[in-house]
Amino acid sequence: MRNAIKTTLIILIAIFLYSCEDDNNPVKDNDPIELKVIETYTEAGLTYEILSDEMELLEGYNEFYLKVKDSDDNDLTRDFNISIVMDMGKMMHSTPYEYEIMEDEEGESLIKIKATFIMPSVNMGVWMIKAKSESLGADHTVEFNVTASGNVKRFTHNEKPYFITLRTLKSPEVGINDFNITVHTRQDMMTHPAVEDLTVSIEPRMPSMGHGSDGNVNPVHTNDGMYEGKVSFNMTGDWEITVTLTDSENEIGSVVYSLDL
Amino acid sequence: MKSIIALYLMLNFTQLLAEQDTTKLKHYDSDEVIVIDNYFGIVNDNIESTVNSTEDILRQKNEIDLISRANFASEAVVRGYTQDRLNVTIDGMRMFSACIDKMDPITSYIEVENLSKSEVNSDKSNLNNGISTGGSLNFITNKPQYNHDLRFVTDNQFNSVSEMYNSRGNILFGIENIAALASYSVKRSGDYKSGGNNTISNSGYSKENIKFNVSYKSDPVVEHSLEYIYDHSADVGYPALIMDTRYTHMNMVSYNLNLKKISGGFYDFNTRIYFNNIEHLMDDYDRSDDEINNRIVMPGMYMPMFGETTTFGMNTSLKRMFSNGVLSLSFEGYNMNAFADMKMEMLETDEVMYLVNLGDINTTKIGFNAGYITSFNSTTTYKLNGRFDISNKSMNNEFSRAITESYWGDNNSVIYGIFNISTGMSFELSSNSDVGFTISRIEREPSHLENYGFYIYNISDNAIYTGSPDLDKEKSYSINANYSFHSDNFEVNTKLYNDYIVDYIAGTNDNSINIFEGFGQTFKQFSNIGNANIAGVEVELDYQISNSFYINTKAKYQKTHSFKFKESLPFTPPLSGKLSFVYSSESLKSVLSADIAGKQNDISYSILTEDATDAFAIVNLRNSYSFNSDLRLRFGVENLLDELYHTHFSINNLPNPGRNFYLGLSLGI
Repeated sequence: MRNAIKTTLIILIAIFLYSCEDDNNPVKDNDPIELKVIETYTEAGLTYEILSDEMELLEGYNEFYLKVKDSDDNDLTRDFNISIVMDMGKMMHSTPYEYEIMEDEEGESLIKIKATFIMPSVNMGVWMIKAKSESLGADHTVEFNVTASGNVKRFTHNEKPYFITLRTLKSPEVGINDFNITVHTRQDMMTHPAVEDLTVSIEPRMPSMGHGSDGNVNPVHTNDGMYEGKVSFNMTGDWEITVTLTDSENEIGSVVYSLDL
Repeated sequence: MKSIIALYLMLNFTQLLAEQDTTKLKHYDSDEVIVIDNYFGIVNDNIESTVNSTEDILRQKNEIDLISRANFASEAVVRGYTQDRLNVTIDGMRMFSACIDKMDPITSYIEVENLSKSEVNSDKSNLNNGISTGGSLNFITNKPQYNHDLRFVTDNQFNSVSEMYNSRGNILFGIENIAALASYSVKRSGDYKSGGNNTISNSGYSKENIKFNVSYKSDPVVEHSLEYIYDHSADVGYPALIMDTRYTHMNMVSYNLNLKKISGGFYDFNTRIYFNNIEHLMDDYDRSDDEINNRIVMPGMYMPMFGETTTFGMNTSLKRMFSNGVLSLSFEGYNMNAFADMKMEMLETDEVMYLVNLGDINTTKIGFNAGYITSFNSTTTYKLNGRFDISNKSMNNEFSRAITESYWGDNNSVIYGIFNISTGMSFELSSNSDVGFTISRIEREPSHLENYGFYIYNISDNAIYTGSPDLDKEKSYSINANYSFHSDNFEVNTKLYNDYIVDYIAGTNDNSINIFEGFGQTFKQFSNIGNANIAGVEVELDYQISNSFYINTKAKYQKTHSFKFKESLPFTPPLSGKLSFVYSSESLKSVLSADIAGKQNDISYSILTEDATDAFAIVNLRNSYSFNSDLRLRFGVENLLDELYHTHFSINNLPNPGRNFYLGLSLGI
């Protein structure tokens, strides 16, 4: 009997200790994202890798990375400046983007790029990163693909193009969803500043049903051309969201996003 | 008046009566005896012996009208109060309709062979089974009889107007301490014809119902009873609506323990536990593409809708005799879960949309009731009833919570405390006249649909309704007065009533949702729209011409008013009545009756979109001939003059049936 009690106590203590040990190693909320190489390009002994946590880059907003190494696997990324352009044969243009140098968990350098691709890759247009290093004497072009997503809509007002990029609703669900967009315009072919002084209204609608929904919040500007609001979907099915943009005086344009819940 | 005398005598011989047989005790302790027992019993019994359905029985009640959406499942309306404002029970048990479009009122699950009687508590004097602002309606089912020889009764009937065939019957057997009863009903109906021989297409149906009862007396005053009812209907056409019922399933089981006598002055202890489940599926798959593409409601799509309610509960009651009165105590508790969802399937694009209308709405309610009835002297009876209920509703379906968050936030649970009180007195003015009155304050919690229903279509105003958990209770302040006079061959009974309703619940326009061209409905949300008033008079006259001939006349008139919208409330009965000439002999009972209604211009424009209803008069001749105790023939003609008409309670002005010849034969073995 005493042995049985002893054994039970030992088992209970073991379970308790195991539980404590488990508590000391909680699952981390911010586990590192595993980056996948989605494009590789080699020239003059230098290897350029485009990495992303997604399988592909999409029309619209993306965060992705560039890594440069030589044939001895030396980390040369920090030596490079980059720019992003689309070559359309007769002309070239850029897109809203910014980048910074950072290090991954293993101490290797990465160029983190935040880019809003205003159009997908097309037959007559190729997206590319122009990577330059004065110290290495390198000036190379890394082509990559951007897949159409429908996230970017455009209209022209006073001969100025406006690019509206949907930043949310990647996995829309019934109920209330974030509805965030960015608005950019084109100053010249290489400069796309954010537009920050608009009034935005949204109107969801089910084309099959002919009605909208309750509980929507019109997006308002937060920073860098980002407008944040809420959209409500009261049932599954096909939805259209009409986004109307107004400057201080007039409506300057509207775009429509379609999605299927 | 008989009741007052009976009560007075009983109060003077309480102990003796407590030991009397159960029939007398039942007679004594029913509140209904006080208000309903009168000289109309014989006449109405004769009338009811010639009727063919539960609806026919309900039609005999002066305060009841029937909403018709099809040739099936009429919804009982008491003094203009629809089921939302009535506490409807079966043997005191709760049951909740599964269809959110009101296609399955509770009465649709009770067949006439199930029914012993129906108790209409329109003056709100009886709170035992729960109460609502419109009163209560309790159906008492047939029970088996002890010491009864094995007997099988079958009844087969044919109705010409819809080529309906109804076979029903029961088998009964009882020994000294065990009794059993089983009954069945099978109905098959084709499309019916309205007056003028116009066929109302898509109005047929099929329906089956079975019921089993077993009772066992473990002691002369202790009885155990088990009851099971199954009801099924299929392919029920609803010509007034945009969809048809594909099927309904209703299962109901209950166990009842009754102790007729307990020591210390307590008696009639009754406890019942029960469970019921209803499933209802409706769709528009049988409607033509042309109808679906051109209708104003959600054109171009099928809309199958499923609904289910599951209820389990218990109620218990006990009575205590005192030297000058009787105290009745009862307790009730139940839990009900309601779920309903729908798909919208586009004909052209195969696009499918989905939403949940009732997201696992769980209602738990407990209530305690106390009533006291006493007699001050041989001419005055006084009664007082009080009831307190507490109710909790919660929405538990995650999908529902998501799609309704924009309306209700995280307000997914509501609690209501409901306090009701009713008091009344009856006076004997003379040996042949009585007067009585009842005053009550009744509260009604919002229904689960009014709290948590989402996108529920109402064809009566072509609107889509959403509930609100923020609703206040609806309160009714009522006064009822009745006067009766009788002589040897004449009786008149007059009832006057006025209900002042505070925080009346109805839909108001919800403009938060944009609608676009081609969308023909409005959105509404349930809200408290202020106060309303309902006043009316009901008169019933009974004149016995000879031993075999009677005349029975019923008439009623009602005025209603919404103070907010300055209009009448929906379903206000017009000036209407019924005149019956009754012949009754040993073997033949004949009733020649006329149902008459005046034009109704007192209609609702805003709460519901009603239109005026024309006056009508129809004539019926119903007969029952008994060859002997085992063979009875029922035959007659309804709507003899084949009038094309609809009542004010006809949804979408659906015409009522035209001339109907019926023939029924009951055979007992």
